[in-house]
Amino acid sequence: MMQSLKKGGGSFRHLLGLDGVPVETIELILDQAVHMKDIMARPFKKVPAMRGTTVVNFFVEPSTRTRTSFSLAEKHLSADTVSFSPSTSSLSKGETLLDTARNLEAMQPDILVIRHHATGAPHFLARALNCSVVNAGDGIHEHPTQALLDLFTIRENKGKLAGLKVVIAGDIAHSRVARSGIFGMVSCGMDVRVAGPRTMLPKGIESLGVKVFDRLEPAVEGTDVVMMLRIQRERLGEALFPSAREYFRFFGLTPDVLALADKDAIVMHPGPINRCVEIDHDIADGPRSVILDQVTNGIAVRMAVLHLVNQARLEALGLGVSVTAQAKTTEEGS
Amino acid sequence: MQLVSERILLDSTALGRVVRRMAVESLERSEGLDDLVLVGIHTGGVHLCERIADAIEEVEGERPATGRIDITLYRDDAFLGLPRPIIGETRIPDDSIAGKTVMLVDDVLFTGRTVRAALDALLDFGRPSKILLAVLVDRGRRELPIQADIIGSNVTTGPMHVVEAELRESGGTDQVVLYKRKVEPPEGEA
Amino acid sequence: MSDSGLLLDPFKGTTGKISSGLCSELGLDAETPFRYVVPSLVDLVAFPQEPGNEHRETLADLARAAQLGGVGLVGLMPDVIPVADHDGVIRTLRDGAKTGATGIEFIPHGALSVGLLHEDIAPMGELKAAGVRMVTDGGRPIQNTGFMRRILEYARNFELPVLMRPMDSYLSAGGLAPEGPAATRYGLPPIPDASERLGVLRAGEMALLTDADVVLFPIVTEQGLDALEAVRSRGARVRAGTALPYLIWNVHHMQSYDGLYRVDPPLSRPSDVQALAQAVRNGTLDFVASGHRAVNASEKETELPIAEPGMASLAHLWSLLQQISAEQEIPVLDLVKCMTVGPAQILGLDSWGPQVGVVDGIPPEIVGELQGMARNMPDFGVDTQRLSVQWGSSGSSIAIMGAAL
Repeated sequence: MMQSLKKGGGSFRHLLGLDGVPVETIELILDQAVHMKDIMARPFKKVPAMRGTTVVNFFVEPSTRTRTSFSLAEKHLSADTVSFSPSTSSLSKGETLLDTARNLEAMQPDILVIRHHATGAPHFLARALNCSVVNAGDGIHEHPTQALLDLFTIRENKGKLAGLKVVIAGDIAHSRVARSGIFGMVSCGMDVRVAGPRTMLPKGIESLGVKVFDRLEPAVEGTDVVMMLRIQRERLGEALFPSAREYFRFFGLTPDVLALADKDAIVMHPGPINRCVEIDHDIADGPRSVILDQVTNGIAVRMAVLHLVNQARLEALGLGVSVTAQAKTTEEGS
Repeated sequence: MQLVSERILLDSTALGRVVRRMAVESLERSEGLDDLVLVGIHTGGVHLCERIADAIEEVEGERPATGRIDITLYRDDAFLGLPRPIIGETRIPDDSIAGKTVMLVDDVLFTGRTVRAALDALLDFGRPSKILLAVLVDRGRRELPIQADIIGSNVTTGPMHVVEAELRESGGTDQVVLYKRKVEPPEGEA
Repeated sequence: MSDSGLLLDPFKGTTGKISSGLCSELGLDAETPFRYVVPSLVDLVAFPQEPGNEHRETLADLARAAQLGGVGLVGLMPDVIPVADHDGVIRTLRDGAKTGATGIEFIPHGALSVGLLHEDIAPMGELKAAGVRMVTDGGRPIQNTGFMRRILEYARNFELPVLMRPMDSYLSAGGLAPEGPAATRYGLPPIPDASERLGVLRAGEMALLTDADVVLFPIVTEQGLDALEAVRSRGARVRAGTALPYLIWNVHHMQSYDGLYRVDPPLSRPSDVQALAQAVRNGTLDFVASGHRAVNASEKETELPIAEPGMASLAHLWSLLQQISAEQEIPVLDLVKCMTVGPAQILGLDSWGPQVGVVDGIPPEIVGELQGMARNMPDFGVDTQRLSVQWGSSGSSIAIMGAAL
């Protein structure tokens, strides 16, 4: 069964990125997330599936919303959860990532959810440690759960994925949300466009299967989904763009620009939004925005990911029922 | 490992009769249609549940509320590794069973573990006044102290037996069949 | 005695057969089935860690690595602590080869500026008197062209070649992979080819302006080689070389984000590897060096962006050369030329060390030692043929060496 979840040959014990993940695996996660969302709608939002499982949220790069989303997902699945952030971790005292991780591992977590500013940090830890690793964002590389929740939100609103036209706009070069999003959307057969000032468009990105635009208007035309990325104010100091004002005027999502999209187009943003830098007030709060849905869906998608990763982890450990016992349970009535 | 058919426990005519009897018994055990909620256990109990509800409608002129419940996340082997980790749909009418008589429906009652999980799952939705269990076939060999209230048919089975309810809604012949597992002899032996 | 053993003379450019008589003359065991008999090699660029970082590797360790790799003379970069910008450190570096009694010699390259800060010219006259035959930026490229002019003029005064790294620091800043689809896919900050091109073109212009003898290292891209041809066609006196890792591994090896693949500059694209191989075959590149840089295992066992760059390849040199020869279809003789004739011309060498016999397999008594010296090396191909060397006696046959230096 877990064979079908293998990512490009690797095991689903870890979720390190969406690069190379087949569309069947993505659809499986989204389908499972539907049921997880139903659980969140119940009066009693808890299932015992991950009872007795320890999950460590290791957020070296700070993030309140992703960390909270993972924490809630873990709690809904009855897992035991512990969170570390820069101020509470010994990394600030000069301990290497490996030593910190080894110390964490000594506490025997089953799953490590990690966000780190260094590209490849989760991959390094997946090799160095014994527990399962879920990437909550590594440098400018990938943020797979974000891309999955974005795909879930699109499918929920549009009923399908393949063939939809989507534009991702903003600092593509430094966006792990964009990268994972591109991998996932292209796998699912979507028509993907990226747009941004040339200083923010990485060379060779067409090779990922996207169309590239250095102005927003032509990219938005006719799209079903408009996804705006956050412009990090810290990066404005890196001479990537003159000012927030100039950015909003020429690359921000205003009503005029949105009017070029399909009349039923939805507007998305990974959050937190910078009003009047990448997105207009009224649009962010308007009827076409599904930004808040993204937040809810994030918990459901993370529940699905954690459940599947956990089951793959258990399968790899070989603790599961033996084959003959398994045969018994396949016809187990009640 | 092969399955060899030993005998047919219920052919489609017998099946229809049994379902009607179970429907009548359900009505007897409840306080009325408003009070009764039928919940089919995924996967085997879902279609059966709808059939019993249809049969009740034939008798009473009104259909009871029905739902379905997937118990994957509640199984007692979730922390060892589920043989089938993919979860199915759970749908409880009005998300509420508080104060109602809930009738759990499944096709085959065997070890009792599935029902135990279903009870836990159900109780997370609220506090029913009563939970009843209706099964098409009780094949014995319980591993937990679980009993059915409404039983379509009883059969004594051994560990090498498999009982399959092959309903037409799932593409089957609308029969309940008793199979025996036949182990392949080692190579070189007759 | 193996029938297929080759006697390689890079000075004459000939390949011959090994005979037992020759082996005896060279002080090599006549019974051993050598794959090659060659002059000992000259590694033009290695990065020592002593003084200053002895915990990574001592000079004695480095000499031993060279001995295991069949290298008789190792050129040392000056970025030690303190920087080799005066005769005291030069002497320390040179004498470092003597402690292990390996017979290996070190030739330290002098820093071209004090402290390699590129503000004040280093005392090149003093450095030359101390035995230095080349000055260098130590891999830290000069960005101030005004200063570059001055040091090139001064080096020309003492007829010292100047080894410089062709790179534009601003374009390369923070980069971990060559710019393009691979860097974009793997989420690695990119370095455009323009950086190496600008470095080469600038060095070429300055060489013409000052009549200095410029040596560029390392060239790692096809575009860099193209720029090299451009400056040469303008008449600039520019020689160039590359380092071994760039002929074996490429950017796609980085997708595991394993610190063992972190080198500086980063590994290039497969098309660049092919272009470099062609440049070795046709003589566009004058030399190949190991670029040996040893660091502690813990400095590699970390997230990629902060992993310490470098591969400690010296002890495995012949295994690597064999792999390059097989995979890139470069005749071994061409590779040997790049590690004998090329460096000899640059440094003005007029004498040579013992001959070396290269044989298949590693003798059991040094397996453990070589494992220990492989901590900075990615597993270079499970099927890689491992070769080891035996040293002939010193002061041996000049008959093998041609006159063409």
